Amino acid sequence: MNWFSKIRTKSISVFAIQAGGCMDCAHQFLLALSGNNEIKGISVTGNPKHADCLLICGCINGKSRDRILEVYGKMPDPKAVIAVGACACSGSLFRREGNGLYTAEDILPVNSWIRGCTPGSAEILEAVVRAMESVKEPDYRNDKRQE
Amino acid sequence: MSSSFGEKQKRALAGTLYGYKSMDYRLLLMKGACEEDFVRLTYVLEKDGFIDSVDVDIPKNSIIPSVTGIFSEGAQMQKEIADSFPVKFYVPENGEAGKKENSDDLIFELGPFHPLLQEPVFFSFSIRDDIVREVHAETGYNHRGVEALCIGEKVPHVLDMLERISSVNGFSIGLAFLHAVEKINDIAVPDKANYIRLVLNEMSFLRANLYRLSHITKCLGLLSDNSAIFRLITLFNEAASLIADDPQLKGILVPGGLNRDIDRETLLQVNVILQEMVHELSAIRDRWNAAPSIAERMSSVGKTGKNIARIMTGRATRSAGFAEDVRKLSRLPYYVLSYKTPVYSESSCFTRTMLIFDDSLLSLSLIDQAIEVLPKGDVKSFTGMRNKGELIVREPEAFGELVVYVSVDEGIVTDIKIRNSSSVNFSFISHILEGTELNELPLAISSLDLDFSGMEK
Repeated sequence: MNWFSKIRTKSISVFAIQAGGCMDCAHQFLLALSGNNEIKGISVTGNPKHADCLLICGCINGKSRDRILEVYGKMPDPKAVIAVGACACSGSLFRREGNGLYTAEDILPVNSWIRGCTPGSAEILEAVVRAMESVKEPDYRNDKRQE
Repeated sequence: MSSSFGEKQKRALAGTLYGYKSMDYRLLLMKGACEEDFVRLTYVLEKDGFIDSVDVDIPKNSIIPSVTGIFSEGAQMQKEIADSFPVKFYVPENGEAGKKENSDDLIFELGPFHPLLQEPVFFSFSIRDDIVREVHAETGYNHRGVEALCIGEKVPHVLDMLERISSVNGFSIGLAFLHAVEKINDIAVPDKANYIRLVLNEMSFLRANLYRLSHITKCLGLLSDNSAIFRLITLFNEAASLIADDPQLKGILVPGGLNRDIDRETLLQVNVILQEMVHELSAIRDRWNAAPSIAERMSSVGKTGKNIARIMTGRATRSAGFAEDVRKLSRLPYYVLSYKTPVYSESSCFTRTMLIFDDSLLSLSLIDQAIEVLPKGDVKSFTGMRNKGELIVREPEAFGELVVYVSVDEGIVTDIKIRNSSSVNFSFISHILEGTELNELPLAISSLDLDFSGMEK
């Protein structure tokens, strides 16, 4: 891990998306933040342009998929995506729905998966930090050449 | 059935529904069923516990009169029908669809994902001078097709899915479903199981109310109170971990009782942990009552007239002076416990929030009483499911009245329809939010106890 990655994982802005589910994964995340946010340096943002990390909870249907892609598109690089809970990871009990349910991996490159129904709050914070550590730096020089 | 739904039939349907309305009936549930060349709509109506229904067969792709002109509480139920079946509802020009946007107004959009919205919903507000003049709400971001998935499945599998509909009301939905299945199959649940179910049900209400309070404190910007509420949630999780692996209390309910016995000592330990909340909740409630900055700010937000509050359910109704006791509807032994439903005289954000505190304290009191009189015995009875039938049950949930229609055939679910309190209350959101200041919108929305995951399923 280079020095920039180290700094980046000390202050992480998370855009949490409750895509469509029972809401408990999002509750667990908020519960985790209520006690530990000062230690981990994790904060919640409502603006995708300020976000480092996208936390997706719940089943993703066609309607929410479009909005999630819109939010992801607005996030600056480098950015991490975390799938929280069985619904976002695999569709859980609702995966047989024939009307278009997606997992997080179906629509976005996921950096970290937290399985379980419902996952523990401590695991979510750990996954946020690990996901940010694993995110690769964008190649700015190549980007400039392309421009 | 004729191939088109004629003018005469439309008038007959409207006339029948007007007749019920004039007799003071209210719309409890709307459900549809798709047959070969027509759609069967059922309007379930209720008055003082008496339930009646109106069935109407409509050719596919017909346009029929909207029910909202007669029963305004049916807007969301009607929308669900229109989304699920090939039927359209005609809304008159002077109704909601007829409203024209003023070009001078600013359009402000909120959602579908925002930290001050608990669940995904998209609001578009038409604003002038920071005052909301019109509200347009778009739902559907939560829909998972749960009701369709349940059809043809065995009862335990359906129960698993229903418990995962909503984190705050999933337990109540699962319990209501089980009550219907047990009634159809004449399954007698042991007394001890019923009392433990009551305790667990009240625990789920308490959890829902605590999360609601945490959201309101966030909207008010009271970070220390927010931390205090989260401490109480941690306390709740500690108590719940003694009973189940999951704070949502999933996986305990089974047809005919509970899947494992919970002894009296464990429940007493749970009670000791939970009763620690009483002091903290009372302290926060008293502090908010005594602080004019909070009381005055919240009292001016989300005011609801008595004529609308009467049709709504849950705290919106009780805060306006109507003593709606949803626990009385339950098959659980609430009748042996002593309690009084808290009521306020004027419905506003403040009174609804005070009712959350009162309801949480009431739940704690009921848990205490139920554990005190817990009978001995088994917690599971024989569960042979051989009968066929259909039933509508009305049960309490944390935010109001829950209605579940279930049809089962030898342990296989053939039809299910769930209507939670938000399906009724959401129909009035535009009336309540109109006139609200822009900066108070999240507070007004959060005080309405909307559970979108339970509503959209």
